[in-house]
Amino acid sequence: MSSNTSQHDGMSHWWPQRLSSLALVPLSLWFVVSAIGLVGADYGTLKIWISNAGNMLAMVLFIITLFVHSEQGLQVIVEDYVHGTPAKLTALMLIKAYTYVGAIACILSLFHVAFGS
Amino acid sequence: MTTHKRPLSPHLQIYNPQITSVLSIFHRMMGAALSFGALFLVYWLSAAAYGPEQFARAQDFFGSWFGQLILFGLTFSFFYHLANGIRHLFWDAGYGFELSTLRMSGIVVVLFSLASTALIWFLAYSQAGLI
Repeated sequence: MSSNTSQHDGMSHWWPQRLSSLALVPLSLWFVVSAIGLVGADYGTLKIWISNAGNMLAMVLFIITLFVHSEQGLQVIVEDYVHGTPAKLTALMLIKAYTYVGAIACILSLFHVAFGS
Repeated sequence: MTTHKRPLSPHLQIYNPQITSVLSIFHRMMGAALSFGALFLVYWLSAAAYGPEQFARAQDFFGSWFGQLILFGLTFSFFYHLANGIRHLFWDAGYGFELSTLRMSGIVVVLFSLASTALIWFLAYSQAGLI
């Protein structure tokens, strides 16, 4: 965990970001099309939809990839434009906290709707 | 710890805006907007976890004019970031750097985003029975 990661191993960010980008092309398009199908849906419809194993799998993959990609992208923006080590470190930590909490909240919610009583 | 004065990205305001540079900064802005727009996905799914009443309230919010405005902005941001992201992947693979190609692919990205946003909203309104 180095405080100035971007300055000496920028390439280590490059491939993961390309991979998450590529994975998000089909996953995000699938999500947008699925979301249209859920316009105006009630709770019962959502529960049936997310109880389908394929939908659950795709949603979990989409959410993980989405928040990983968000963290990677926001990190690059901060590294480029936020000057000064304390400000930069704080911003990077906030981004990490936001994306991890967001992803976990989404996935736990999905499980609760699908498997909860 | 050694601290070298290493270069950061130059300040944008010293450049004259061109279609290529404007589209490029748009890519980051839309990406940041989508990252924070993910909060609405968190809201939508956690509302469902709270139960049918809260989920119905969330659905009403997204159906309100304000909710629709947010979703519309996110839809356009999504298609723009998607199309321009694919443009970036082509550059990473070494293609598309000629000036004429750069301009044309930029225009294609903007037209694609507008058309896809319109199509998605047409489908969403059809699904809602409003068209």
